[in-house]
Amino acid sequence: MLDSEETNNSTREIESSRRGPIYRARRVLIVGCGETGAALATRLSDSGNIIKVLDLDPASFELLPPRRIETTRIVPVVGDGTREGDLRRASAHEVDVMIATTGTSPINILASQIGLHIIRVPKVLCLIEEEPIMEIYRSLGIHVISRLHLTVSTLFEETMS
Amino acid sequence: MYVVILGAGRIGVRLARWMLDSGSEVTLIELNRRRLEIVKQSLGEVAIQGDGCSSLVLGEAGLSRADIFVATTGADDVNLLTCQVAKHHYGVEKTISIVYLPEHEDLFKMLGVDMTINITNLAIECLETGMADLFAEEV
Repeated sequence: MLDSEETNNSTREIESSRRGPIYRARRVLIVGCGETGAALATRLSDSGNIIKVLDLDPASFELLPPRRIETTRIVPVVGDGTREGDLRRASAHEVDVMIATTGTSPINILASQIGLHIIRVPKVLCLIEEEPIMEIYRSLGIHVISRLHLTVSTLFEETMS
Repeated sequence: MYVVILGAGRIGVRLARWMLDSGSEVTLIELNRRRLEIVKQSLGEVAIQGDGCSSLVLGEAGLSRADIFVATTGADDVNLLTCQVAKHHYGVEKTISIVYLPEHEDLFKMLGVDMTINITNLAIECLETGMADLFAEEV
């Protein structure tokens, strides 16, 4: 009879699900420390992730919370997100996720492709301002998020609900 | 042959003139209205105003029937993006691009740009060749 075995197995499953999923801090590189990049860095570090932020302009780091920089939970790096060397200086080769959030879509796309195809970051997210130019980004393996699309979708849903 | 050129700067305009002289059909895409005016005066109605990264503008330029697309803007990111769209969405057979940062050239080729003109390396090669004589004379 298999009854007792089945009972044991299902008990084990319930116990492990009670412990909850194991959460691992992610190492994240954010390219572009504008309003979006800085806000994202802050929120991600609130959840215990380790963040590096890359920007050409050191003044942009003023948007980051000073405490987090002091404790090195957020590490600002000055550099150009379209240059492989600078991305590596910002630990791109060691991160779990790279997110391109400069205010310029073509730059985000170039940085993302370097991250994806040359440095081989496991997950690359690319913010673009407008609607994506067709399906090509998905076919090129870049996960593109359109600010315009998100905004319009949210407003649409709110309007229609 | 139908050629679409992105950028009516020094390179784009000279290229357009050469293509027109050799009997090809050309459309230039240019963002800056002042440059556009200059082009109109020297080459006629061969340019349209707009951002080459916009699908609307690329469609307006008739990219779907172009044989060649040449990206001549001063920005590698724009040049690469527009070549990718030209090739992968519009099916343009030949994409050509100016590349400014030598380290980007391999990426351009990897991502399907057919011909890359490495402006920086070209300039350096010319300088080295031109200046080699000067140094030789010093000895």
